[in-house]
Amino acid sequence: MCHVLIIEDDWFIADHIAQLVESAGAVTIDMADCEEDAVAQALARRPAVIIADVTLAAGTGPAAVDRITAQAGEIPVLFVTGEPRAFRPRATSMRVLHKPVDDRLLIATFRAIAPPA
Amino acid sequence: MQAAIDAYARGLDACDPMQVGFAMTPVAMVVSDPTLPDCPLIYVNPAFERLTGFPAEEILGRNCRFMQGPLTDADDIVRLREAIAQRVPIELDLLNHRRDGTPFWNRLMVAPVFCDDGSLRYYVATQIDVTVERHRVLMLEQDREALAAEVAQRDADLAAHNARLRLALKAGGLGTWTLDLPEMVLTASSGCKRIFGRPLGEPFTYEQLLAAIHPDDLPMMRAAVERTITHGEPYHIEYRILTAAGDQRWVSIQGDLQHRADGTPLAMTGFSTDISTRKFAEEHRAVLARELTHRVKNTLATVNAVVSQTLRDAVSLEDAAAAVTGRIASLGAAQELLIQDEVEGASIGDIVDRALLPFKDRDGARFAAHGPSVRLTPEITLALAMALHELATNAIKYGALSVPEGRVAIEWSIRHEDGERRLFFCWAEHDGPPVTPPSRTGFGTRMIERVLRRHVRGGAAIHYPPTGVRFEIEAAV
Repeated sequence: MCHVLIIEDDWFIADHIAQLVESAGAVTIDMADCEEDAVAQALARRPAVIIADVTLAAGTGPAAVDRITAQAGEIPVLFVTGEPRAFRPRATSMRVLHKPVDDRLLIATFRAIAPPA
Repeated sequence: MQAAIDAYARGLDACDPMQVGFAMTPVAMVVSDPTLPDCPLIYVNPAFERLTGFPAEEILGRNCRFMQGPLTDADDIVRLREAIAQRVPIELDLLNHRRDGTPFWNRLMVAPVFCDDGSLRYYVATQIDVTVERHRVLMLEQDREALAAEVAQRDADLAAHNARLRLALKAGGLGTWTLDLPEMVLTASSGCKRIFGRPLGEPFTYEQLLAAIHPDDLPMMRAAVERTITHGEPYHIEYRILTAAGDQRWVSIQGDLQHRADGTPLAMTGFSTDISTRKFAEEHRAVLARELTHRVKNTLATVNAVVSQTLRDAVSLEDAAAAVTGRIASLGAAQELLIQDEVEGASIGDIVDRALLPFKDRDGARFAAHGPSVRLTPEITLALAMALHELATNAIKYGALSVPEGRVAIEWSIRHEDGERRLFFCWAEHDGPPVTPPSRTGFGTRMIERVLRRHVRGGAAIHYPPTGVRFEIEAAV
């Protein structure tokens, strides 16, 4: 269905999200654990959907998303975060789910924002 | 003698006003005759009789020293005798005794009387009772001394009180200040200057105070001062300051308005305290609380991932329950290592020990672990701990540890290649049943191959030779 970029510095969670979106139709998946790596991977291959953590060991998810969309244009984004509920993304079109996420909710949200096959 | 006394009495002229005055005055007066032996009294007036209690007939013809007694000062008597011997007038206060023995203070004046030819003819003396006056003077002196002592005591108390107050202010890290109104003239104590990082020997002006306040906090401070001066509200405010040395401090200021008698504002006065430690602790606590929330959410997400994936691979509910419990326990053990070695990371030896603890038999002979002390980053710590857990679980179920003779050798080393430190880690099972590669990829294998490989940025692979399962990592560290 599409190519997905997962930006998440916790490898266990990243792997789990990868399996969920694979089961939901993602064809290829790139993973990045820091802001720089995320930007480099997205520019090397433009993702159809970005699933990003907010706080990373190096840099932040929102900063990575802004840098990517500044060059590659708008891309559907889903933040999966451990941040407080007060966190609001830059654009209202960006979805936010709070950890720990119900697997079915993550899959449903991913399907809702992913471009139709 | 009696003839001399009588002669003197006869010589008195009742029409002489001086002599009438002599007789009538309330001042005691006597005359003695030094031409007779022992200079006896030849005349005393009625006032003298009243003063001393001696009737004239009892004392005329006697030297007047009969008035001296045991309480009379010996030095005063010497002074009196010398004056008489030298024929010069003298005035002194002498403690004399009345006829009944009671003492009284006698202000005595004695003067010689000379004839025309210059020869000494009489001594005339006056006596005034000054006991009450002397007593009053004495009392006044005592009162003055008592007052002086009391003032000294109060001065000492005040000094001690001030010293205690200064000490308390210093111990409490408090400074005091006064802002005179309406001129806005600031007077700051040494403690206050210290809090604001000002030199103690120099004045600290209101303008300098305003300049020291953080620009973001200045409008709020000015508004608070205005409210206090205009409405008399208590002044209680916390703001940030920047010292001349450039460090930021938090200060707390409390003050109140003083008024003149006519009700106009006289001054604002109060305390200042450095509350930086409390403020920074509050900020630190907020950061920690946020970090803790974040970690808890991530941990729950990780547990969710473990459970979810374990359930997907499980062949039965019992199998799933056992696997989930084991995996969550191994996550817990890894977390403990992370917290213990938050700063420098955990060592491989510790990670191996902790991960294999639940699988060791009584003598621990089934695992042989060797390697130097190498510390790993938190991500790799967690990944390696989980990988070891999966390997051990599989070894017990299907591998070397499923038979009594089976053993596992765990070895690691650091090698320097091309100027790079490379870690080699190996899990090797031997003396177990012949190995057949698994037909499906389980949770453990997937984790090792997909995740650990990414994180160690080197090689991580499981091999299934017939002699025993081998798991190898090669990574730059």
